[in-house]
Amino acid sequence: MSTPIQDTTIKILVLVQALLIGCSNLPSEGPASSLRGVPQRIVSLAPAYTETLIELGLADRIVGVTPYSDYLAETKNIRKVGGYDQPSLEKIVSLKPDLVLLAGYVGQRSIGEALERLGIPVATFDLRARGIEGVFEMVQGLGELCKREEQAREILAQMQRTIDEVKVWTKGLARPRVYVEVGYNPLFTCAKGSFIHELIAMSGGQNIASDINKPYPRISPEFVIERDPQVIILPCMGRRYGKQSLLDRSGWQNISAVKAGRVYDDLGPQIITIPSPNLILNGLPELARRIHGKELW
Amino acid sequence: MVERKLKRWITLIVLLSVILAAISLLALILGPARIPLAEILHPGQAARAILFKVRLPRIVLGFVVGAALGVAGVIFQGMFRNPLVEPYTLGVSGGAALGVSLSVILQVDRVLPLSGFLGALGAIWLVYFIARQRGYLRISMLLLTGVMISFISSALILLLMSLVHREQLHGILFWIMGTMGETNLGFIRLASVFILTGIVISFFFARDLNALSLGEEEAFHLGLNTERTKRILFALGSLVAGAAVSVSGMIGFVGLLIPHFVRMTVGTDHRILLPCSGLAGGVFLIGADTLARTIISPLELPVGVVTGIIGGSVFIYLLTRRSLKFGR
Repeated sequence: MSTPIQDTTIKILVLVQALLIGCSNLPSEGPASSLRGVPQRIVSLAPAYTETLIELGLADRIVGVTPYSDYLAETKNIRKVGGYDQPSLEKIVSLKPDLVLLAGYVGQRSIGEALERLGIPVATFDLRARGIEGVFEMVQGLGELCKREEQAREILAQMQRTIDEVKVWTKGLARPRVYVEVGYNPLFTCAKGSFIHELIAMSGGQNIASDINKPYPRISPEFVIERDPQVIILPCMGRRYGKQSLLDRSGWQNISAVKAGRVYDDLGPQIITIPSPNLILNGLPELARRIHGKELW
Repeated sequence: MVERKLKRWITLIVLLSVILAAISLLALILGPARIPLAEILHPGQAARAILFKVRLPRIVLGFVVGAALGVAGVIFQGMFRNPLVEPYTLGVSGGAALGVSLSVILQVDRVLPLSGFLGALGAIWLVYFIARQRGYLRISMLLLTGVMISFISSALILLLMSLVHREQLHGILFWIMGTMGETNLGFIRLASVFILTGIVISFFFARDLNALSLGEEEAFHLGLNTERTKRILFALGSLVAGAAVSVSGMIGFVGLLIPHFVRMTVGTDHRILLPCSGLAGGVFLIGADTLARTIISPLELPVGVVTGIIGGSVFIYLLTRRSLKFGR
């Protein structure tokens, strides 16, 4: 007898793609041909877009967001278009947008097709798969779309400056082994193909999972113990479990990072988990400070 | 005659125990961290942590969860006289999953197994409360109520899942898929003691199960206090399965397949069926988990994937070879 829970599991398996691979993406698509003039009413379906639009000084043109952008004070009075992973087509249309920015994962792709049929311009930037370079491309692209090229150029220059600065800071420092836990029970980390992996390298650390060819691989605890990270980062990602539960794990007490008290769960919300300019401007220096500890403070 | 049977039973148990020891040793040696044989004999600090603090607890967990599911499966299939019933049929897993989902959403993740167990207890109590009418526990009512409670909890979980943040969804999802990744020794110890006690108690009801699997009326005429026995068996099976689910998530197929598999080999007498199913369940889950850990290492597969594919295909193969024995 297949229990309903098992049926649920199967239904959910379809969702898994959206979740795990959801981080990999569509090829980058430029603005739709139907876009006329400068967009005045923008619906942003990913927090990275919302953050960037705010940075570009366009907060007042955003008319709809998803609850994923809730951590941004600027979105408090902006309409939410549906739940976390199911934006509502009806709500989006009712806001009469002249540009809808879509994330690449499966659920939003079908919304994009429907919007295009209704003649509403959509655009997607390939954020996750193109890594940090993708963030640069998005800032540039959004600047062009919204005729804010000047601001975009400024932000891009600032991002590049931050990257160079951190490079100078960390020059000549040892490169500690870093483990970033993006999910637990089971454990997930980030490896080749993820922007956090790039960020670790930029801040002068070595990702312990750098030999895995999958952006967000599921790993086992013994993998972490064997690689013996010197720094552990627990980015704040919706589930706040804190470092105590990590310290309680069987066999983890001898890991260098744990022994040295270098387990960090204090990175601000979404600071290294959203591929926006903020990832470089704040996330990179914050990560570098934690990776190098005293030497940078 | 009796002596020959006893000899056969002892041989079976010894054989299964030897297999259990062998597979446990294999599971201890194999893993994503490559530890050479020479180092296993004289392990350094990291190797010792991996061998005895990561792999060993996981083997213990695999054994008790597999054994719990195997034994609970035998109890339920015997008591309901239905070959399709498994430990999850009566709403235990649904309740546990609901408890876990709630604790993920309320961000009290550290007590995940505890909330799973509370959820399971809630479901068990609800099923029992509804199915008991005028002091009488009807088997068919129990089964239907259990299935309905499962459906309702499944719907509630879907409701919760559609409202939550992606990372929380992730947490619920992987719990439902089943994992042997519990790393908190306290929870593993607690669940082990609880489950092993339950299994040992169930052995005392082997004769009663033999009687019940003839039919309730027959059992009553054999002088069995059927009401009391049904209640105890329902509670025993559910509690053992609930404890297993709360530390490992939903690992499918073990509780359904192992009892059938063992019945094909040792026959339908619950006195041997119960201990053998426990051992076989443990062996199967330790083996499946070792595969899940090593096959695409250092990545890890959900163990439910392995139990489903291997268990399902082996079972179909066996079905085509022999006919399914059921009852006595």
